[in-house]
Amino acid sequence: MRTVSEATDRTPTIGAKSALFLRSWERWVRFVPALLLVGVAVHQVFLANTAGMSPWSGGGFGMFSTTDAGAARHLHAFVMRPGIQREIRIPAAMKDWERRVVTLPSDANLREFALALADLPTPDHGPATAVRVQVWRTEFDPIGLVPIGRIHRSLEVSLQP
Amino acid sequence: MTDRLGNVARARGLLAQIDPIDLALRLTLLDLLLRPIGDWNVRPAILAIAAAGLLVPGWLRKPPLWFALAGLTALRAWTDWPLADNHAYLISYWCLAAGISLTVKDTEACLGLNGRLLIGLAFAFAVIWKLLLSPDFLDGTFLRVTMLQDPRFENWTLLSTGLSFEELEAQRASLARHLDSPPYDAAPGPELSARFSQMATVTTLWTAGIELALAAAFLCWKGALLSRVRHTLLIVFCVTTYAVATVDGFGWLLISMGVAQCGPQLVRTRALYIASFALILVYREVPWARLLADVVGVAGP
Repeated sequence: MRTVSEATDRTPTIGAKSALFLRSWERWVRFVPALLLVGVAVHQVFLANTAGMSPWSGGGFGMFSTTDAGAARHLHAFVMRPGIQREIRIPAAMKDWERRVVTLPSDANLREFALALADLPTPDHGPATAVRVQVWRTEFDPIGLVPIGRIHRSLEVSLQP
Repeated sequence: MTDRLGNVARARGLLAQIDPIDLALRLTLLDLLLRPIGDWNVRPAILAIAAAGLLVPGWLRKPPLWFALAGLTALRAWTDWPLADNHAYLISYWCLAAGISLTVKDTEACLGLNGRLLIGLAFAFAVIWKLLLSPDFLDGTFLRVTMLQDPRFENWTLLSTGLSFEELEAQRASLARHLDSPPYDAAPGPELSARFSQMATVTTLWTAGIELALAAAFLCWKGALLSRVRHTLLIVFCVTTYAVATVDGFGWLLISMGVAQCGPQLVRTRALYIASFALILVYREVPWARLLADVVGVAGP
């Protein structure tokens, strides 16, 4: 009888605990979407300030705030050999990658892209010694709206061991 | 006259019968169908799930449907990193909010809270970028360049500024000069009219002002005066902004989140949201600025 009684007494206690847990879970889980928004947006602001990310991208709600959209940037790449610096044309197959690099030109992205460019054929002989990648943006003079090209980020990757 | 009043009353009665949460969820699914997102790897699945949510009885309020949409839209933002636009992120948060709200007891309060927070925070970050972080928004440079350069603004620019199409083309050629290697051409472009500069200034101030008001209205406490006009502000924002900037998917998403906060008693507000949703569709499908520009005689070839 005692066992039955204890079991009967315990049941509502467990139920109350579950209900309490459920209530507290329901209370905080509703803030998850807003917390995600804040987390991603703060991360975007951080990347824009430290890695040159375009304010238009990355989920930070910087669209329509500046002329510095990722699509308004462009890239120049040079393969270096002793005494020669040759600008190379980015192949069509790498255009999507190029768009990602100009939008987020972090050192890691620039380095990875530069190493891929080092493998492209050029008319020059001998092993390449370095690859330089420059991401350019266009600023506009606030009075006459004259476009001014500026190097936004640049990285030179040495290919020598 | 009596018939017309009767029709209005019937329409109002019909609208009052539609649950605001169902309406918000349906509008979100319509947004996903009318403005499909992602590439082939996620788009068919998103479209199929959104269509099923609208067509299969009882599926609209199934949490797995919304968690699946949240996952797929998040996957799109992830695989597209860092290129996806703001809409891709916001729709993913909103689908997640819908899924969560449908699993908790007070669905209406939870979805309404999420609508308020997501709209308020999205505009708060937009305002932080425009007013504090951007180097060229407040001085009007961004909007002057955009009004001239962005083809989506072309007819609006021709209509509102008095520029001729030839002048617009000359400005575009000047802005498109590639000035990062010799020979440099730092000559100023053709002179802009005072009316153009005034229009750009007014648009800049209007955009900053209404976005700041929206952020404050949706993030302040519920009893505050500003909070009580939040629906009006959002509807005005959607009706004015998306007439010029054709970013329809984002507009529809904002409307869906606004509807979720209406409650059963705000029938007229829900009707205005639905009308705004339809108006944004009209803005997209009918080149109204072009037609008007043709009538006025300022349209390009």
